[in-house]
Amino acid sequence: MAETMFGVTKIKAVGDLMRRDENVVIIGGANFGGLLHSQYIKPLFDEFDDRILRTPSAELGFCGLAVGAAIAGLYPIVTIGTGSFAFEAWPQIVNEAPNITYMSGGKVKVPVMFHALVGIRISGAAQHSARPQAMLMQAAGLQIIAPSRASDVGPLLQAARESERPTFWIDHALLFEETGGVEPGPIPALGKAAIVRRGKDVTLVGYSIDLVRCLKAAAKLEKAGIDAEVIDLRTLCPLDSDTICESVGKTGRLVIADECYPAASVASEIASIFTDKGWGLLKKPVKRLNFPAVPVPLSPPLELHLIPTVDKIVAAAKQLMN
Amino acid sequence: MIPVMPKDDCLEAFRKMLLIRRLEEACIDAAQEKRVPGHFHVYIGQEATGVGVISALDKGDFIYSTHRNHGHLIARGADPGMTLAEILGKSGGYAGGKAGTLHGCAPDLNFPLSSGIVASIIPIAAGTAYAMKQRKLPYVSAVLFGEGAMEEGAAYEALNIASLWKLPVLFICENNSAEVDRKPGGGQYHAPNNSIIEITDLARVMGMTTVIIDGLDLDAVWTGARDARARAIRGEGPTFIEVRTDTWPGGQWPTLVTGRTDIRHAWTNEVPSQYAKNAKWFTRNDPVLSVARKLLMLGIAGKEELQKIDISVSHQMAGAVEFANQSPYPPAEDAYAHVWPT
Ligand SMILES: Cc1ncc(C[n+]2csc(CCOP(=O)(O)OP(=O)(O)O)c2C)c(N)n1
Repeated sequence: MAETMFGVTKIKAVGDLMRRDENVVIIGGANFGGLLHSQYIKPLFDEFDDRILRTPSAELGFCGLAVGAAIAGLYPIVTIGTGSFAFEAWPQIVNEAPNITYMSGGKVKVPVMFHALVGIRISGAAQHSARPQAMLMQAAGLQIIAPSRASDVGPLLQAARESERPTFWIDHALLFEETGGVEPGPIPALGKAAIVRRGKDVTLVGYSIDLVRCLKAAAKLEKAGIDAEVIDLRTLCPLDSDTICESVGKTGRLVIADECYPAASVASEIASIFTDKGWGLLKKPVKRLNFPAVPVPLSPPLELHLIPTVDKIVAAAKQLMN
Repeated sequence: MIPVMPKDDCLEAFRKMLLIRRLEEACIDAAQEKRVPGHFHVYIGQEATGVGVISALDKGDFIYSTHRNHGHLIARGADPGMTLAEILGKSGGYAGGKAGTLHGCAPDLNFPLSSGIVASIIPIAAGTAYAMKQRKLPYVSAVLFGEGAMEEGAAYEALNIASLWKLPVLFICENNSAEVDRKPGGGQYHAPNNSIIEITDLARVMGMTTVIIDGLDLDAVWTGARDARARAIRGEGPTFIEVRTDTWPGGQWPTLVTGRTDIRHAWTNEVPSQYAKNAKWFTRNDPVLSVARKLLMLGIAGKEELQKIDISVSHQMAGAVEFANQSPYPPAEDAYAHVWPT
């Protein structure tokens, strides 16, 4: 069971990268998982004890430190912890790292990987549930990966390393124990989305935890006689509009699941594709399932009400089929 | 000790400390039944700090806290039933279940919020102090935070501004890992993570009055806060108070590893055999027992009086638990309310 867990495969991928490349270091005060998962992460931290900089709670300081270390030959993987803490380091993540290559006329590279456990983690309340990815998409020069399936983590890490671009790894707090998705087969390049389920009736697009929800929704839809195609975005920047258009060209119907707030979100960015490049491909309006524009409440029934759940994806797809 | 606080204040402070203890015990009970949503932090072992500081404040003063706010709320006079209901995510809580354990507040008591982001609350508290000064109000702003906050840049910026402009603010740094060897650079939760050894040195170089107080000494905490408040009101600027306690052994996933507090241990000095591993808690570190012992020693209260307080507090807490348990979860449509002021 444990071997197939997303989190365990993810930790292994980080370890593999560190074994291959002695300049990869870990900087940060946090882990790759919640407190409950420390047992799976400890072996990695033991093995690379001298390549881990255990920092104080000083997100702004240690993210800046990572930028400087990246400029000078290291490849830091920065464990920020909860996605909301990235805001503490915002100046370094969005205003320093992504601008440096451009500001030096392409001469300075900042190969750094910021990692955070973002998202509605259940009962994290307003200040521990942020989904900073849509805001990060506004930082030109920042690459964003968001693997959902364990088999993708190693290849995306390696590709990000080779790209030498500053990259943000959108990991989700609830992905750790997910067990689907270590399927063999060709793995698309960084920047390509993956069609993870073929179907002809409706296209479901997701990434990270929302991809897991889309796959579960597709299984339910199948029982209702609806054949859904599921696309895993894999990266948010670059965003693979070609694969999405290809699929919608076939189905004519699109549901996007995205935990971000609706305005200027990953979902709205995808929907906008159909105002130009994908113009004319849709038979029905796009269904965007976001977290409504309210801060994240603590109380379980309130929070559950706002999450784009599997059932909401199913209902949206059914509506499009009517 | 306890020579300065008036007798009635001493007894009221003790009652609040015990009420905090009973609330945290109730929280841990609820957590055992998986009824506390999210990760929570208890105030066991730090009761004399919150109660000492907050008892020295005026009704018009403001209080700000962190993830470890339960005790501060009770010390300020928050209703234990509403406090617990909020922690459980119920509609009867101060924020109708929206805040939970991390963001405890009691706005009517000038306790506007607790931030779950380490150190983020410190500049906010300084800003309230600026408002007090600008509006010429005779009040201060007090902020209670852990020593971990001194790892974040926000803390330094706020301290500097407050000292520069002599803002009426009390910075209360609750160092709850005083037993940890203060060797710089451990890099772990509950370990020294600063390059300096004395946290107060940081505030001193910014020109602030600094004080270090033993977190078992209710009277010293109260006196320290009272004096700091007086300085702030006189326009002499902020004070940085470090209150030191040892870490309660109940840990990161709060568990009653020292049992339910039995006030009789204050005079029997017994360490129950099942808790022998944590003997120091009973003999020294428990602020509730420690203050009870001092009250007895100084003749401020007798055993019977302490037991009477215990019975009344336990009775109050039973009512609070009943209220919180009976309080319904908010209806789903409540999720959309309160995004904007109404
Ligand atoms: C900006 C930020 N970084 C990290 C965390 C995670 N975190 C929660 S509590 C805590 C330690 C706080 O220690 P301290 O301030 O000493 O308070 P204590 O828990 O000891 O009372 C950390 C690092 C956070 N909440 N906010």
